[in-house]
Amino acid sequence: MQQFNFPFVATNQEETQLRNEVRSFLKAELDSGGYQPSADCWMTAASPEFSEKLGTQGWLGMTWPKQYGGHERTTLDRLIVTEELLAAGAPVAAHWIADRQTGQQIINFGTEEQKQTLLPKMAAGKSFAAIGMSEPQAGSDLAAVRTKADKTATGWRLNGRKIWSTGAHLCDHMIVLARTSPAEGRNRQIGLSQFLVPLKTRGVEVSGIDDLSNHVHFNETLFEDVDLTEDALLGKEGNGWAQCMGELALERSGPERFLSTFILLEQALTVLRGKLDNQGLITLGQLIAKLRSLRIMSRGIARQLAQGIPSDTEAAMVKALGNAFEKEVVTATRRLLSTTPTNEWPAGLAALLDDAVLKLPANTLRGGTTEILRGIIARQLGMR
Amino acid sequence: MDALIADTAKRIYADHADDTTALWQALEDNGLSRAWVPDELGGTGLELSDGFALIRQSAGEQASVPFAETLMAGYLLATAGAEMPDGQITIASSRQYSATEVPFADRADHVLRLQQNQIQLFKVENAQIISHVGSDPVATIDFAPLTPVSSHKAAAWLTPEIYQQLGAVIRTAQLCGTMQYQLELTLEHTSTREQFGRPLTKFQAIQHLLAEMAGELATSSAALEGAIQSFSLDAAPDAIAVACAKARASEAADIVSRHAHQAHGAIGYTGEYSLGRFSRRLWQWREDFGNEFYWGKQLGEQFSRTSSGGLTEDIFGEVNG
Ligand SMILES: Cc1cc2nc3c(=O)[nH]c(=O)nc-3n(C[C@H](O)[C@H](O)[C@H](O)COP(=O)(O)OP(=O)(O)OC[C@H]3O[C@@H](n4cnc5c(N)ncnc54)[C@H](O)[C@@H]3O)c2cc1C
Repeated sequence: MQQFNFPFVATNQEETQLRNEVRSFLKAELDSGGYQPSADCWMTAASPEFSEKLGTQGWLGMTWPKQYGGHERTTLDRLIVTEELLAAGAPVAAHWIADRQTGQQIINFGTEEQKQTLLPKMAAGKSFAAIGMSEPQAGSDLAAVRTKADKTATGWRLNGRKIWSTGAHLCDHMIVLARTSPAEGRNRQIGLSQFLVPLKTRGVEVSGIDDLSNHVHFNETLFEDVDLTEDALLGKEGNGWAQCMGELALERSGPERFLSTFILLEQALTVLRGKLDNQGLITLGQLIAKLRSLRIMSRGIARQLAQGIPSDTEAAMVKALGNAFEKEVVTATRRLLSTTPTNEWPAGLAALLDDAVLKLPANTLRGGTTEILRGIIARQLGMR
Repeated sequence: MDALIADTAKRIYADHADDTTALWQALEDNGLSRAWVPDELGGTGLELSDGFALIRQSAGEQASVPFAETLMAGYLLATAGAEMPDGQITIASSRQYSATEVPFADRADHVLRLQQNQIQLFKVENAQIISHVGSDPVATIDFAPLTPVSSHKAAAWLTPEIYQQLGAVIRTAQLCGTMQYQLELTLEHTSTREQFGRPLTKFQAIQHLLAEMAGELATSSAALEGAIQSFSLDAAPDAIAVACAKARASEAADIVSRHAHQAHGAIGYTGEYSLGRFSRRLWQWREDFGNEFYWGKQLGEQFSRTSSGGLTEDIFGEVNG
């Protein structure tokens, strides 16, 4: 049987030092009213000002080469920073995608000029990026994308429609998955390519979509005869599917896949400490056991990625377990709080709970649904 | 684990599949039953992690022998600087409810217990087999009329809590080994069994059951590793890591056994087919030394202390300043 690998990574002194720095920064920001903690902060709480501050601290593009504005730190260092930001519910959505996947994708596949012009701005928290994978007809079945790019004398012409792109209204660029040649029979993964598309280009129209709580956080993007230069092609023509899978591995492997609702539990505990009955203690304790286990797995993935070991299936597994945990946290917190009258709750807790409830349906959909993730695990088990 | 040790153990279990006496002799002859006894006390002096790996592996074998218990006894005796007698040793206080219900007590050569800071070894004649959720034999012992055959002063740090923690991590390793066995068995069964003209593995509902089993196993194994890393031969382990491991794996055991039975159909419900025996191990071991609710409560108490700084500090680590 195929094993899943999660090497154990012990904590060390430098790690504590870095954690300390991030925590003091966050405390100062919170105390000075720099942000309001929120659930699902990495997806919905965007603050370009806050992102720029993080850039100044050197906490964006942490693993990227110094020559492109990065800091050449380890994947584990980045994990520590992201864990702390998520645990605090800090407004990190603006830069999240650029920092997590787009930057790395440019490092892997971009031209020298793209690296030199874009990466320093992304690492400074001044330029953001969006994901252009999904389309109205292509959700889980991503290879069904219809957006297409045709070769022209000067480059490419893009036509089509992307949907659900998180934060695109704040972004300068989007990596778009498009068809550049027809599928070969049933193999639709052939003939796809990735493009790095500047969004402030003629023919591109980004329009916001209200989410369930009537916030605009994701978008529909229309591409109508958009003329792109030759170097907008990211990586190799026809290699889009493989590149996209690499990008998804980055997208799925982080702690945001289990910490989205952590802040709710943290804040609820301020009123629950010392008051829980046996059932409450058990409920809390079982959450802790899950969270600690997920963290061990997540650190293992970070270590493997740093060593260049592919960890896609492990990431799928952590995401599936982590998303279920995030939902469980909300249900458990409602249960734990149910015997404490709301007028005894600390300020902001009720709003935070509402916020978490409203955002929760999305966590098991975005970045690959639970069903798709289970399919990936089953494939690794040799069942398909 | 050292591949050579793992292979040796695997071969021994395979060679003596039908004869537990010969099996035990081979385990002993190869020094595996003394894995955690240091060289100077006549043991094999393996790394703690190697011993845990052996325990995990043994839990995926058909044979029902007190291998894990004997390793634990070796560990405990070593902490007291005492030599370990030959033969099988089982340990008391394995169940959360009662200190006198002891697996293998009717057949092991010695029973070990920790009593008032003494590690005591008994020869037990009066053990009464009882019916039990598990498939390993469990017997009750009346300690009152018994005098220990030997008694050793335990190290000061070896409190009853730590005795329980050690037992809990050992059972966690066994739970992981058994869950892995069930996953592999279920994979094999669903690949060969056909219904509606195709193997069960081709049904997505079945694929998802197995994917969930694999996830539960992996996350329990991660928690186990965290607990194992905190162990040593001469100090208390990290109580939180231990609690997380036993809580997580005990909870996982419920899901894994449930899905394994679901994917097997009626054949898995028979006494003859091995799945059921392994489920019964899971259902016993998840209770032993505290189940997921017991350890959940311990964790809940730790993490809701009023003196605590906050959940972030508790989970991600206290930092100064
Ligand atoms: C908050 C949010 C943010 C997002 N951000 C982005 C973004 O930035 N960029 C981007 O490109 N996309 C984004 N997405 C889109 C996301 O990737 C898709 O929602 C996801 O891939 C599922 O596609 P779908 O919504 O079309 O659902 P569908 O694919 O239609 O799925 C509907 C249901 O059917 C199930 N299903 C589908 N196929 C199978 C199958 N083969 N087997 C079993 N069950 C199946 C699914 O699991 C699901 O339960 C976002 C989505 C959300 C909710």
